[in-house]
Amino acid sequence: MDGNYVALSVAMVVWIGVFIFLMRLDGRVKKLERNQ
Amino acid sequence: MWWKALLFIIMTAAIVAAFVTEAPQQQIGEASRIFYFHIPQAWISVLAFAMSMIYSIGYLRKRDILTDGRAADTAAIGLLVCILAAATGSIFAKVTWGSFWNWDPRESSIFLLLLIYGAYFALRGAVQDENRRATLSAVYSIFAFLTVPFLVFVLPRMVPSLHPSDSVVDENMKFVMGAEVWRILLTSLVGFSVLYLWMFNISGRIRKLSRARFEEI
Amino acid sequence: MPSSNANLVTRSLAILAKDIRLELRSRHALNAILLFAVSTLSVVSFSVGQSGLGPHVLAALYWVVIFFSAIAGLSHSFVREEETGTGLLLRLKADPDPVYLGKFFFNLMLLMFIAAVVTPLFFAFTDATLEQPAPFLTITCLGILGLCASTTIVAAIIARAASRGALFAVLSFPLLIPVLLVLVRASQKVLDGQSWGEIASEIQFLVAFPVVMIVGSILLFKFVWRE
Repeated sequence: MDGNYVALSVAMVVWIGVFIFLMRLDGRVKKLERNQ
Repeated sequence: MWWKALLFIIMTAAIVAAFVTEAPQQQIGEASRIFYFHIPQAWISVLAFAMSMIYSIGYLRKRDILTDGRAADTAAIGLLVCILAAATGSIFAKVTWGSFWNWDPRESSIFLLLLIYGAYFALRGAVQDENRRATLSAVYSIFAFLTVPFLVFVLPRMVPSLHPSDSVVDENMKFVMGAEVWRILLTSLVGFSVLYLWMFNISGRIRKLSRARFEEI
Repeated sequence: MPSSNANLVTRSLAILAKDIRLELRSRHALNAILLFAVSTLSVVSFSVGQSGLGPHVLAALYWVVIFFSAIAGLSHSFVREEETGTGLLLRLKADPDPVYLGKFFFNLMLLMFIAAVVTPLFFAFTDATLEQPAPFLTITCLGILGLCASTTIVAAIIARAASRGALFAVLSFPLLIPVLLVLVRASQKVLDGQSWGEIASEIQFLVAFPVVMIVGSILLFKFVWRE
């Protein structure tokens, strides 16, 4: 079970990182679109 | 926006469930959990390629350079996901059957897809003129897509002595997939698909912006 | 532009004849492909030809020789047009369909010629045995058809790009993997002594594949040609 919790944490860290990155990117693009 | 929150919840649920519930395939054990991620990745890499082909057809019909750009974008995402799929697949293969690569039909299809993506971008890199690049890569993308059914559908039916490993996974997917396993897989599949669409959407908007900026100049 | 079938055939043959004449004059493609085929075959024969490797390895080696010969030689008919500058003239004067068909048959003849040279040498210089030539020959012919079907349009694509040689191989290989896998498997079976019955599904594949590729090529070629 221990190995699974490690894998779970790693996966969550990766996923949260990806999600935040995309949110930021999306936000920046939206701002640029508004300025058009 | 609401769907982004939903995406977050769905993916998180899939990830947690993948590691907290019982391993989906008892014979293989804990390593089989990877298939909750590997299968959606394989699916998305094919979907992205199909999208690239569709946008390629669109370009040949309308000659809109933005359409060609989108074809390239979805191919880029597809390539990324395909690399992930090949990586997770071979990690799984190593852990379960002892060798990283075995050339059974499924592995061969992912390998083929990887090569096609690579070839597509090699071609794009070799042509300077924007319109010619678009036309040539569109033709290649469509033509390459014609090859895929041959490998994916026809070959596995022709190879009677499937590597035993693949038939284990096959059995698992064909009838032994319990309701819970199927639910988690489906959740992951939906999550990955929405993630793909989101990335594709962002890349399209960036393209439009840069073209607008370019045209101002 | 309406063109009757007879017209299409005549014009394709005209292109084919032109290419053959040019080729016989300079023999570039022929030399490249022949040299490649014979050297590769020699290396194979020298190193493992008589070692009793068995049908599996021998079949694979056979198709390695044919495949790499194809890669060495099948881009020449389009690349030459670009290099000698006649491509522009051809594009102005000719319709895409006859051009494709003419060049496809040129490639077909080229590769068939190579196979005709390589195959007897292969059986002479390795310990491969063939009880029934007919299945093997059929597989080889269908295979060559398939190889040409995929590579002709790729040759047209890369002729208008940079880094042609490497690009031709890079673009062709993924498209040829399915047919190569089937060809090797079918040849393995025949070299092992099996006959028509066991290779029925391979034959089906080997007939369907070139048909799809040729139809696709004809539909897509006009876009490449007119670019």
